[in-house]
Amino acid sequence: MFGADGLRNPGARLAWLAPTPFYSEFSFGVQNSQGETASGFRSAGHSHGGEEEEEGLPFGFRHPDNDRGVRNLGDLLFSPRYAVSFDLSDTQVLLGGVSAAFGPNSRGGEGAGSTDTQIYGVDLTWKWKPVNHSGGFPFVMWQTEAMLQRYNAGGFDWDENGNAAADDGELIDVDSGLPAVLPGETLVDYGFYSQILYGFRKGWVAGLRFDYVASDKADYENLDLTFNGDAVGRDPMRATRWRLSPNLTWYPTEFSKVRLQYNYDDRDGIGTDHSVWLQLEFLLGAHAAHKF
Amino acid sequence: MKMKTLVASLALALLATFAVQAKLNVVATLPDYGAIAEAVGGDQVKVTSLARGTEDPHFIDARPSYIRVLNQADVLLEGGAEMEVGWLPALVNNARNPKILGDAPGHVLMSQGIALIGVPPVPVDRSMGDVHPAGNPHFAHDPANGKIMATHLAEVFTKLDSANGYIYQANLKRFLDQLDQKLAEWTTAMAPLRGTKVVTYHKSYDYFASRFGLEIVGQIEPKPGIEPSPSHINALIPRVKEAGAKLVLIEPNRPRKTPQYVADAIGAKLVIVPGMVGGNEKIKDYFGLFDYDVAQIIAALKEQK
Repeated sequence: MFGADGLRNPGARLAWLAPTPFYSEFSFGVQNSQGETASGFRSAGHSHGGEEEEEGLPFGFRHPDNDRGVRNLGDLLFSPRYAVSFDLSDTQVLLGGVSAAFGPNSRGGEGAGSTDTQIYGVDLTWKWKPVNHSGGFPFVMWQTEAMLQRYNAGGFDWDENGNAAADDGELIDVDSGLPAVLPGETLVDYGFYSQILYGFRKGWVAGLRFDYVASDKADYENLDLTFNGDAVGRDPMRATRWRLSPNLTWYPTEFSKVRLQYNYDDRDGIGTDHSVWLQLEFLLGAHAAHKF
Repeated sequence: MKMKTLVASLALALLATFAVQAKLNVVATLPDYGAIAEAVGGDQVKVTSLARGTEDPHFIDARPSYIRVLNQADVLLEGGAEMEVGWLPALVNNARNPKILGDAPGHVLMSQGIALIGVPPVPVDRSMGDVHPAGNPHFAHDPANGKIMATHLAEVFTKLDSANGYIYQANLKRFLDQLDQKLAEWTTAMAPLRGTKVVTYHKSYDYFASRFGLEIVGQIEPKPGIEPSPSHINALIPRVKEAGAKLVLIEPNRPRKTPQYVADAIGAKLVIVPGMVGGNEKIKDYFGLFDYDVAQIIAALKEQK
């Protein structure tokens, strides 16, 4: 929904700390909806048929005015959030939130009209840390987040060269033998992740994470279509997928970490994958705990 | 009907908030500062300490509830020697409270007027570990510094709440008199121990040791904030044994295994010495901290002999 780099387009945010006895904060963000870090909105700044082809073809198509920038309020992306936190005890803290993001996307052919995306999320974090911790350890943290996206895709006529005949590089409707005409429709995708981290001794954190994404089968996925002669069925980008990842992280210093992670990845229509990742990360310069 | 009840209880809650605000709302980062603020402020102040005495004050979780607490504060007491630099700045920035920012009279640096020890030779860099550039921030663990802090707080409270200034001055006098008397008692009790060699876990007992004449000959940590490595411990043991270390001092929250190993290896006694008020349930105020710590050290040394 947010792509590999997250939703971090330029913008501004206004937040209000509510006068409640507990922590409770409303915030409202406004961002440019166009750009690579606005995946799900007006990302990938070119239309289908241009020189650069977007990943995810054959279903990636965008109207050509995606590059229009921000001309009016309708080109902005709005993200409200409400967060609340309670201290359950001397050792336990709960933080919960509901968020949403609303903005235009550019999905569809020329004349598809304005199409938009709505994303809704809920999140919950629970943390336990004993009152006699040393160096911030030990701790247990459980974090989970669920999201639902309603993505309004505009209609698209694949007969891009206008010759009313099936050509290579066009999506073909098998019944008519002609370039497909995809209906405008709302695509619904959803998923969640849940992870538990256990900092068992200073600098060492063991974790287990579960990810799940799925979608409602859309009208375009029910059509009998081919692309360059190959049958096209369920959109691989929207198929059900889940992943289980145990991991172990070692922080030799506050500036570096070494993480070993195994992923069991199961994707509908593709199968299962096993992968092992070794991640090294280090930081130079000032950081939170010290100014040097 | 339900709505009415809700509105009524909200109104009550607001009223209660205003009633409380008649007192100075003081938020202390560490319980030691909070304890002194309570002694000087008395009934005129409401004191909240963010860190608990049992916690590692360098690594306090920035709980969202602390943002709300800081938002309501009239006064923030922080050390001013960067001990809280890992968790406090983000909380203060989010609290949106001009009363506790920058040069505002409600923003109090407790180290003001105190000569910090262990100020590193410039320039400081990461090879020194979590060293504090402003100097050793554990200054509240010297009762003589308690006098400077209390005097400073009485000034601040009087400035912010001049109508009650006479009360703060009277409370201050009582606190200083009691502290003078107590300090004399502790000094007398510790006098036979002068020159005793000790090993500490972290550089957190330097002020206490220098006040009472203990001589620190080594640390379990190779550098401040860095976990002990086997090579450091193997080098430390013969060195502190030769120096004649009699005690190993650690805070209640430190891992016991390595300090116990060192103590056994050098024939010293491991002793738990809380560094802050609230370090255990017996330590209820600033005097209680030194009453307890002095008694622990004397008892441990007796057993050791």
